Parts: sequence; structure tokens; C-alpha cells
Amino acid sequence: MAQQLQSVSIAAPGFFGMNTQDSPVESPPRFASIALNCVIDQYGRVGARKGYSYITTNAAAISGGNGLTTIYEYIKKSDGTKVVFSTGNNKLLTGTVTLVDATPASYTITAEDWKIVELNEKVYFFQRGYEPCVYSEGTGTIQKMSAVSGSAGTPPQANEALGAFGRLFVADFTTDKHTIYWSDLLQGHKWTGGSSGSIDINKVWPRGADEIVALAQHNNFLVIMGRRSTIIYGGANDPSTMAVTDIIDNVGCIARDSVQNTGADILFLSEHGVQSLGRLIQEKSAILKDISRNVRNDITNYITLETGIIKSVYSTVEAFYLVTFPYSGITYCFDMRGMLEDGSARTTIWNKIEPQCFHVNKAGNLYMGHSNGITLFDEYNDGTATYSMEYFSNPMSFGNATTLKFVKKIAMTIIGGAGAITNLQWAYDYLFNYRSSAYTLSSGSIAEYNVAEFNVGEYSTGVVITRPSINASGSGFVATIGITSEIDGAALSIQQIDVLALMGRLV
Amino acid sequence: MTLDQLLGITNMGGAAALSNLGIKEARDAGTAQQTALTDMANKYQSDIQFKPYTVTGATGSSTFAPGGGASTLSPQLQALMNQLLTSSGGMFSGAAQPLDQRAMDVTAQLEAASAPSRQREYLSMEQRLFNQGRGGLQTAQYGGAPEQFAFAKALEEQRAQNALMGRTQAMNEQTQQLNIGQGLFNNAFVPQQQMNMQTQVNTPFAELINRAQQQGAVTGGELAGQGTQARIAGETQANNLRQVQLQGLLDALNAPAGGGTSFLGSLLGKLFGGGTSSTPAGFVTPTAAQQNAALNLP
Repeated sequence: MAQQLQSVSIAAPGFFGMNTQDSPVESPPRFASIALNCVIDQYGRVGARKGYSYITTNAAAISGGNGLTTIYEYIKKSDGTKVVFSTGNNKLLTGTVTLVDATPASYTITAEDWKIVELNEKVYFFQRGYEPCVYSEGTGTIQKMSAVSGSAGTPPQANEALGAFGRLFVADFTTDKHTIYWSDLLQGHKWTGGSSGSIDINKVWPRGADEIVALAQHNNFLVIMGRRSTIIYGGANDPSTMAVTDIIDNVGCIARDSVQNTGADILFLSEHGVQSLGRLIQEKSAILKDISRNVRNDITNYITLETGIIKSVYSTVEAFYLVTFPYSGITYCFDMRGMLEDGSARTTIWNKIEPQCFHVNKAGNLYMGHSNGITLFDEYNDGTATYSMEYFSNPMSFGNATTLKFVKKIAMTIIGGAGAITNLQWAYDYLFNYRSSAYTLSSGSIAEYNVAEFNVGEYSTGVVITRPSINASGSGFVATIGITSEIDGAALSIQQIDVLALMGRLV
Repeated sequence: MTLDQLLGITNMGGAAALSNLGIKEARDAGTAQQTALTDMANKYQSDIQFKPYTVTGATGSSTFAPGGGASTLSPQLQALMNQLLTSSGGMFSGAAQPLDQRAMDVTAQLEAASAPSRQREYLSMEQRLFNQGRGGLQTAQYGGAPEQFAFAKALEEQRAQNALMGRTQAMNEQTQQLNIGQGLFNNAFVPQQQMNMQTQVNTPFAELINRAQQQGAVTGGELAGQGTQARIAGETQANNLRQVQLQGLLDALNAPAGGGTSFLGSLLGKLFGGGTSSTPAGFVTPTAAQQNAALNLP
């Protein structure tokens, strides 16, 4: 006797992002096992990430190097004009479309790990082992700190710098990893006299020995991040009286440039993954509350492999936190619109985009550094190249893991991706030998019914909705459904996946 | 020459002889009296000389001699006096010491006294700073933490106060040493004063003796004076008698036996020739100085 087909509908598939930590069988279908080059869009759907396009046109300015490694936009207080600084190819550069070498004379650079901070109409460039450089709005040039008028003391050759509480705080020197120095008030080039000072926290570390990796300001606290512990000082608006308010053991920061302030939280990369310091302050609990909990093992593997400079960015416009691992060519994307019940963020993973640095300018645009200059995170191409978006569900048992399933039909509702070739794939029993069926998404005209088009010269925009449906084959106890689509200039989101399966015999 | 004349001449001779005898006796009596009284005055003169004497009591003894006096304290009091003088000398020596060294010593003692509490305060502050994670703090404003600066400031203030207190204390101590030294020095002479008092108490008894001797000397002087007066009186009496005698003779010779110049008168003049003075020859009237010396008067 013919059996009834059982229908499984996954609305907003992968809405919870990737989950490679929980048991795949029992994992809710809203988790994805793979969400490559995806984001969680504003409607809660899994969609293709944006790519980038070059702003810079004179790639020769940094040719021969490894591309841009730092970008920082400064808005002049005098007239509001913007000056974009970048570093690359052992140069200090200004400009976006045309990069101009602004390296001070007689200043030789052989490393690319700059930290750019701003304080009181000056921009400071710090790198370990190098005399800091200063851009002064008054002079409009970048100078060595010792050449700046009014500079005092020995310019600290620190790797980490923070402009906060009206002064600069610096740390992480070649031989000194446990002393924090701060400048005179509002004068980041004065390191002696006034209210300048330092604090050696070598005896404050909870585990006896650690090294400062990053500094941050949060909630009127000065946050000192060691590699394996975090020390929070209160009252840093007067550093001479600041005192420890909290010490977090076993949670530190492993990458200076992974620290991002979201306003409510500080996000940073620890040995255990991405942590939220705001939560840590509230709950003083580290490991179980990391926001990368659902990809913990994956991300820790990338951390272990990493030999380059990890970069990150937080974009309020895109509502994500990106952290990139250059060695692996992987970028993790954590959606910041809302956290899951377990405190983790919805996570997707990117490849091929391989940004070398990030910066969100005052307008909210996300700049990235690439080998040929500054790029803008906007288009659905990586430069001129296409990239593949992949979504795979976790293995689904359709509510009964002991019954053999025959997937008969797979139907999807896909938004956008006009003209993209899409592969619908399925596999059984945790295997990766996917069977696939290619489908070209619609690029047809969009009806503009009941939409006033007066004085609007655009008729082709709109939402392209494609509902591909294929007949599947094979059988197994659990089935994995996926879609891969080559992104080439158009956005794509997966709205819904419907799977019709026939229940077979019991095991 | 008639018999009457002869008898008259005989009578005049007899009367003159008798008068000479009276004069001599009066003179001898005055001389004897002067000699006796002078001897008596000489006797009292030896008695008036100072007799050495010694006053002895619990505090010691005092001896007075014509060459001077000497006091000797008892051994116990002498030892006490020596001890007090030695002690006062020590006190004076201490009071005369340089002030700086003593002030430094006192300051060091004050520092040592406050060191434990200061150390506790420092450790407490250090622990507090460490617990606040501020142990390694260095600032241009304060050197270290403001608390450390305040501590160091308070420490220096306390040290300055200790130095001031040390100096004040040293000055007080020297003043005290001076006062004690003065007290000891004054008390060192109390035995001597007591001894002087003892001597003064016993002096009236010696004074009585001397006074009696002085009275004897006065009496001797008076007696010598009286002796001189007695001799003067005898000589005066003898002189008077001589004058009477001579007047009688002169009257007798000048009386004319028939009214003419008297022969006897001229004879008497030949007999007694030159003897017209009323003072007998060989008699010397004492001068005023001789009289005072005889009376032992200045």
C-alpha cells in the first residue's frame, strides 16, 4: 500500500546560523551545518554576503607589498573634511582613490602591524619597535613624534594604543609586556611631566604571568586584555587613582585588532573564541557564554593555525562583527542583531574575500584593505570575481530517526540571485557524497503593479523570487539538504526550503 | 748778826728742810702710784690678746686662730658635698654639650619610636595599592600613587616634626640639666652653710671670753690713766708745796730788819742762787702724748 509523503518545511533555514557543536540529528533545522559566504539578512534569512569593489585606482602605490594592512578615517575638526590614512608596502599613506605616500622623511618601515588612534586633533601611528608617527591637523603632515612641537619624553614604541579618557594609553613593547603608559592629558605626544604616568601590572595578573595584548575603554572602565586574563580598572579618567574593579581569569585576548566596541559590549577574540566583555562584566563567566559557541572548535582550530595578523571590524550598518584569519583565508561573521538563547551569535563563515584590514568610516561604509588598495564592502562580487554561496542544513531525521526516508522532492523559495546557477544538493546519513541538481534562477522582469513610477527612471529593480523544485532520489535515515549558488553581482537569500520525503521501514 | 736773825735763819732752814721732805714724799707717792697702775695695765694688756678656739659639731669643726680660721666638714658631709659637686659638674657638662648632636640623638629615638607604626601604615598602604592593582603605578604628578605621595609627604612632615621635637627636647633637657646642676651645686654647699651656722651659734661663747678680756684691757687702761693722774697730782702737790716753801723763804728774807735792805735777803740769794723758779730743777712735766700712752689711749 502506498505510503503518505511526509513534508518538512524549513522556513528561514539557517536563521540561527552555523552550528557545528551540537548533535546534528537533534539540532533544530534553523541551524546550518555550513553557511559559507552567507549573512543573516534583515529579514532573518540566510543570504549571500556582499563582496567588495576597489576604490583605489593607483595600485602601484602599494605594489610589491602585501596590500593594505590598516585603514583609518579622520575627520578634521576645522572643516569636517576627511583624511583616510592607510598603511601598506612599508608606507604610511593618505587618500582613498589615489594613495599618497605620506611617510616621514628618513623613516624606514619594515613591518606592517600599525595601530592608528586619534586624540585631540591628532592621529597617532603606533607599531612595536618604531617611533610613533603623528598626523597633526594643523600641519597636515605626518611626522615622527619626536619632531612634533611640544613633544616630551621618550616616544613609546608600543604595539597597542588606546585613545581614551582624554589621553593615550599604550602597551606591549618589545621587551616589556606588562607596563601601560599614558600620556599627558590631551597631549598624546607628551610622555613625561604633566599627568603622564605608567602602571606595571606584572603582579596583578591572576595567573602570575601574562602579557598585554590589547587595551579598550568600556563603560568608563579601562580594560586591559592579557593573553589569558583580563583586568578591568575603574576610575581611569584619573589614572593615578584608577583601581582594579574586576579580574577575569582564563579569558584573554589573543589578537590586538580583534577588539571591537559595539557600544553595549566589547567583542574580542580569545583562545576560546569570540567573547563578549559586556556579558563577562555582568556574569563573570567566560567559556560557556562566548558568542562563537556554536562554532567553537572550528574557530579555535583557525586560531591555532593562524600566523598572520588577525583583523576584525564591527559594522553598525551591517550589524555584524567580522574577524578574519589571513592564514586560513577565513572570515567569521557574527550577526549582532540579536543573540540566541544560549548567548551565542548567529554565525556564518566567509572565504575568498580575504580582507587584510577593515575600517568603518563615519558614514558607516565598510572599508577593507586588499592587495591593490582600499575596497568598499558593497557589491556582490569580490572585485571582479564571483564567489560561491553555500548553505547546508544539519542532517534531518524528519522527527523519526529510526525510519528510513526517501527524499522525493525538494522545493525552495529563493529571493534574488537573478540568473545565478544554483545547485540544489542532498545527501544521506552524514555522508558528503551529495547528489545535486542545477537550476538557474530567474532573472525575469518584475511586475511593478500598483507602484507609482513617476519621475523614477528605474524600472528593473525589484525582488526576484524563484521557486526551484527538483525531484530527489536515494534514501537514508537522515538527510542533508544544501544549496550552492555562484554569486555574481546579485543578492540571494533563501526564504524557505520544503522537503517531501517518504517514510520507509524501521531500522 | 743778832740772835733773832740767827734764829730766823735757823727757822728758815728748818722750814725749808721740812718743805723739801714734803715735796719729795708727794713726788714719790705719785710715782709709786703710777708704777703700780702701769704694772696693772700691763697685766691686762697681756690678757686682752686673742685666744684660739675651736667649734665642733655634727657638721664638723671650725678652728679660729690669730692667723685665721679653718673649717673641716665631717667625712660624711664632705663625701656628700663632693658627690653633689661631681654630679652638678656632670649636669653642667651635659648642659654645655653641642645641641645638634643631642637633637640628632633625640630625633633618632623619635624616629625609631615611630618606625613600627610607620612600617605598618606603609604595609597597609602597599597592600591596599596591590589589591587595587596599583602597586606598579608611576606618575609624573606624584611619583607613584597619590596615596604614596601623601604617605611620603606625611612621612617627611613627621620627620620634620621629629627633628623639631628632637631639638626642642634637647633644649629642654639641657635646660633641665642646667637646673639640676644648679640645684646640686647649691645643695653641695648646704653642709658648709650648716657648719657656718654651727660656728655662728657657738661664736657668742668665745665673744664672752674676749669681751671679758677686753673689759680687763679697758680697766687696765683706765688704771694706767689713773696712775698717771695720780703722779700728776703728786707732782702738782709737790710743786705747790715748793712754791709755798719758796714764798715763805722769800718773805722772810725780804723782811727788813730795821727797814733797809736786807742782808739776809742777799745771803739767801747767795744760798739758793738762781732758784727763782717755782718748779724744782729736774722736774719734767709729762707731755700729752706721754700721758695718752700711759693711759693706753690712741
